[in-house]
Amino acid sequence: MDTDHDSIIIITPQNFDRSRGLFFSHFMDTVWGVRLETSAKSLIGTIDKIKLEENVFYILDKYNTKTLKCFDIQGNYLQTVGQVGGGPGEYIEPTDFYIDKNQIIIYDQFHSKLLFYNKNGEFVKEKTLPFIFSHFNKIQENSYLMEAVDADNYHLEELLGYSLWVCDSSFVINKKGRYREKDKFTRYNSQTSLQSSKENLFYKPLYNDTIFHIHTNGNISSKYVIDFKDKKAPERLLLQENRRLLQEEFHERSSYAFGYTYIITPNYLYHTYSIQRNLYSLIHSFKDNITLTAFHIINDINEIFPFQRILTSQDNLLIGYMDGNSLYEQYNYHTDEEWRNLKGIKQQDRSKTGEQVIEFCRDIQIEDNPILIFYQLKENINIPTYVNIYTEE
Amino acid sequence: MSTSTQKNKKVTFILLSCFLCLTNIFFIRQFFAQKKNFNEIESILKKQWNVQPIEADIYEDIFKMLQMDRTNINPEIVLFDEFKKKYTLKDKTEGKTLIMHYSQLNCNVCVDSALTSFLKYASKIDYKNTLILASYVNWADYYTFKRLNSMKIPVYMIDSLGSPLEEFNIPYFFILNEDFTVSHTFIPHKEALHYTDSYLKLMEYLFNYQ
Repeated sequence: MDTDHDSIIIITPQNFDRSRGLFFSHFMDTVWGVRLETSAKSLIGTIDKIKLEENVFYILDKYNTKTLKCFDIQGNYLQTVGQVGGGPGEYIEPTDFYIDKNQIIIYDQFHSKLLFYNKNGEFVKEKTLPFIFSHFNKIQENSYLMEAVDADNYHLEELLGYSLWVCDSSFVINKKGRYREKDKFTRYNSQTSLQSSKENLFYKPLYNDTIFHIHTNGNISSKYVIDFKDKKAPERLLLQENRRLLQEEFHERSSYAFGYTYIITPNYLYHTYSIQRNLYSLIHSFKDNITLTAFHIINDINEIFPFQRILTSQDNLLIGYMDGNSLYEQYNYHTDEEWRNLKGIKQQDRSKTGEQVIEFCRDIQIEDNPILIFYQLKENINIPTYVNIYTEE
Repeated sequence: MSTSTQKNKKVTFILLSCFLCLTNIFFIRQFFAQKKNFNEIESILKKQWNVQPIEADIYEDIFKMLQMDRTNINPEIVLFDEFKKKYTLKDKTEGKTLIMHYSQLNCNVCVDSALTSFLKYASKIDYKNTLILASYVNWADYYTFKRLNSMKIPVYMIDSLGSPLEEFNIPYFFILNEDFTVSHTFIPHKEALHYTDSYLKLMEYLFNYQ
């Protein structure tokens, strides 16, 4: 792959103190949830990927039900695209999907094929691929970008060790990049390595501090760098020979920061990283050039939804999910009377907060489908005062 | 302290050490002899009698089941229901109870097939004489399993039963008697569901007509 030169934005996280937290209201206008219908047809185990297109949620459950399910904006079940099996239009391991203008493309890693359906979920055709990968994206009408960690395509020597490649619609490889010597490094896959925002496509390998911009011609350029300074984990930790050391550093003694998932919206970068198994969130506003980082981000808007498991975005709206049982427990932590009296941590007048929560959670069951959560980010943010959550001994 | 007392102590110590060494050697020999027996039986079944691999596995399981039968289960073992309410095993068993035990780490298809059969017969036996005990790493996976399988009967979360079958990483059924001894242990096989059905039919008879 050729390298294009973008202006690189360097983002420096500041707050590594667990006891200094943030409130939702520091950077969010509002937060709300959508309960996905729970019925025999609509059951979901875990959510691995969400896409919102034309008011339809496409939700992939890779491991439990192995299906791609569609829900409307209110969470009502619409349809399941394809099904598990060996026949036409059926798949074994739906690993990734892409929503095009008129079609839904599902990648079956087991059979190494792309299955094409129309928007009504009817099977149209399938194409067998000459290679395997983890994620893909369409970058032009007849051009796909594939992503794998050091591609395991031993039958295709030219591809071995490359993590990204571009091919045409007949799957002839045109460009390849991000080479790592095969079997030299520990391999970790990330659910959100490829992310699209508006017309832009981004790529970030797990534990890497750089987010790359992938151009429509398949060229790649560094776009954002998360500068952890002295907390940056040395690259030698990712060598296979240092696997044990990495685990020790990761779990026990390290103060290194390991970058995880990320989402890019038109105005914001959201990024998670862990230090000593504590997951921190980073919110960077491009517009105000402000970076917020915290371990605790407290919902002072309606108290019920946590800031977690964010998988995608739509404009400046972050979209994540929580399990039905977590919501059930969160709700039953207080009585209805206590919810009604809840004024928020900042003691502002939020007299309707409790009523809204009760309305939303009234008939929630412990085994309900996951709940989608929407975080509407503010147009502008000010530098907030971090709040003291507790004093560590 | 007199020299004779010291001498006596030394002798006792040496004798005790010798006794412990001999006991250890005896048990180690027993263990290897048993293992050898298993291997020999497996090899005879598979090679000389031309028994199919699944049948050989089932024959092999008989020895595992025998290990489990007549063992005691601690009635104070802690269980949690779906609301994380704490119970002990004795709270949830009224007399003789047919129990299915599985773990999240068991093969999914094995658990699914065993559970389907178990649920079919549990209704015929009477739910209060049946119990499902499951081991999960976290609660989220427990709820996911319950949701996806539309489980209407309680599944109790348990850390460990302390049974000898746990090391084999398989689901299994057994009867827990009034005195908390184990009997009628059975290891279901997804490839031989008719055996599972026969076992459960027998259990139905045992509970309803005996």
